[in-house]
Parts: sequence; C-alpha cells; structure tokens
Amino acid sequence: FLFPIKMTSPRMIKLTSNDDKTFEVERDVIKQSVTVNTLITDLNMDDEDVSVENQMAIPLPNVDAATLEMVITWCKQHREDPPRNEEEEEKKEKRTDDIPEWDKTFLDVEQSVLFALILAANYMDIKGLLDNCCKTVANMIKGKTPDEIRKHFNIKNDFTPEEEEQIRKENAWCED
Amino acid sequence: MKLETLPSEITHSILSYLDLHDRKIVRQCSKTLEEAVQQSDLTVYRIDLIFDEMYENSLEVSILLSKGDDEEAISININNHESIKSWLAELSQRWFFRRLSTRLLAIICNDEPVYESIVQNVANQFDFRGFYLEFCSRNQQSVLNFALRTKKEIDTINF
Repeated sequence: FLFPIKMTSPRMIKLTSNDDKTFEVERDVIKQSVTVNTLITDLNMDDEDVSVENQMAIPLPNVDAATLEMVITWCKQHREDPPRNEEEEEKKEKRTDDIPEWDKTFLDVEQSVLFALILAANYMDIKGLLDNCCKTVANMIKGKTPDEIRKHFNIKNDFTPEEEEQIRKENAWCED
Repeated sequence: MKLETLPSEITHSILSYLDLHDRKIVRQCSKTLEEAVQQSDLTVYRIDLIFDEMYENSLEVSILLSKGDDEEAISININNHESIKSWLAELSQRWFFRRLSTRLLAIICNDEPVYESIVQNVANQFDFRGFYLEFCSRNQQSVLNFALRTKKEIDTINF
C-alpha cells in the first residue's frame, strides 16, 4: 500500500517587537526562548488548527526590531544545540575561551548592540545567548587596567583620590 | 545602555567569569562597579580546612569548598609558607573561588591547635589589610570574627 505523504510546513510563530515590527519564526527555532516557549504553551498556541494568519502575535515590549532580528538569527544558528542542563552548566568551570567561532563573529558588534542583545536574551530567557554575550563582555574586561576599562566602556571615575587609595589598599591582600 | 547600567543580575553574571584579580580591577573603575563587585561577592562559599595529618614539618590538608549542597575537595601538603601562597594561587584559579568575596574568607578548622597554627602561618605570609577574615572552629558554635586591618593587628590578636 502506498500512503500519501502529508507535507507539513514548519509551525510558525509571530513575534512583535516594541517598534511594531512582526516576525514570523519557526516554532522549533524560538523554543530556545523560555519566555516565548512558556507563553506559547500557556496560551495553547500549539493548536495546529490555527493558521499563522489567524494567530495572535506575541508582543515583546522590551525588544526592538533590530535586536529581535539578531536574536532570531542566533536561535536559527543554534536550533540543533542539545537542550541545556542548567544544573550541569552551573557546575561547569567558568571559562570564556569556549565561545563558538560563529558566536564570536556574530557578537563582534558595537557595545550598544551587544548590551541590547544581552537585555533581550535576559528578557526572552535564552541562556545560551546570554552566557555567550556575558563571556564576550568579560573578555573585554580581562587583562585591562582600571583606566583601560573606563576608556573601553566609557565609564566615569567618580572616586575621590582618597577612596581610590582605600580600594587599592583593600585589594592588596592577595597580591604578590 | 552602558556596562554600569545593566541590571545587577547581568553584571553579576559577567563578573562571575572574572577571576579575583580582574574583579579587583573592576572594583577600582567606579563606585557603581565597586558596589556590583561587592554585591556579587556576597555569594558565600565556605572553605573548610580539614587537617588530616600533621608531620614534623608539614601538614596534610584537605580543603572542602562548598556552597549549599555543592562541594569540591582538594588536597594539599603545606610544608612551608611558600606552599600556602601556592595554595591560595591554586584556589584562585577555581571557578567557585573566583566568585568568593574579595573581602570575606571563612576558614573553618576542625582542630584548635592546628587552627591557631594556620592562622599564624597565614598571618605571617600575607598582609590582610582591609580583608575581613573569619575564623571559627568546626566544633564550636561560637564564631570568632576579626576585622583585620593591618598585619600588626593580626600579630597582636590573642587566640
């Protein structure tokens, strides 16, 4: 017997940014966002009878279109990643030299863009993206002097000379 | 959005990837970052020193580092003051120690005489200015707290 093969297109989800741009993204891709995933489940949006045209768009009031586009790009790239075990992740050594090459290039952006991405990853609860963003910022800090860090991140030194000296003294305890 | 204005949980996450040295550098950048480092330092890890054997010139020590139910043990043979320095250096490479306070170190010993000896060893080796050191005995409920400001103060503490 030959049965007709039912060709199903991937289930799509609509997301709306805070500047009213709507994106259609595969359900399988956006499942990496715990926030979106929970909403989809809670709102019974996995109902196959509802076409994407009739589907309600999920509003993301804390994410602008440009950032959301980047988040979706990241999620597409990582759609095949194995599910994270947060307990295992917590036990892992905290290292910053294990950012995948693709992510390194992807996150090589202006600071304002990187910070927007961090906020979006935090809001949308995408742990993998958030971790790699935080590691990228940590790498920007590592090995720099206080002056270099201030310059790099445009930070104003608001310590008085006395306060600065006090901190230097407090920091002296484990220096050689 | 700037580094200093990121929500605290994100700043703490970034700081968790830095070792003690870099965290101390970040502290010096601005008041906001100093506060962020100190807040993230508040994750309390306990360092348990278990003195297994004491030989003539050396001390076998197991160090149990724990946070809640998570713990990891490392062993070290302390036979001179230099090895205490190496011990601290080794600890500082470990991720859980990276998140340990830059100000608070809790040393819990299970043996009173050895506890006194290690305090003296550590005091002789390091300058703990501004470093808040907490010693207590595992068998004692009471915790002895000392705010150690100068090496001289450590030397004059009567145990």
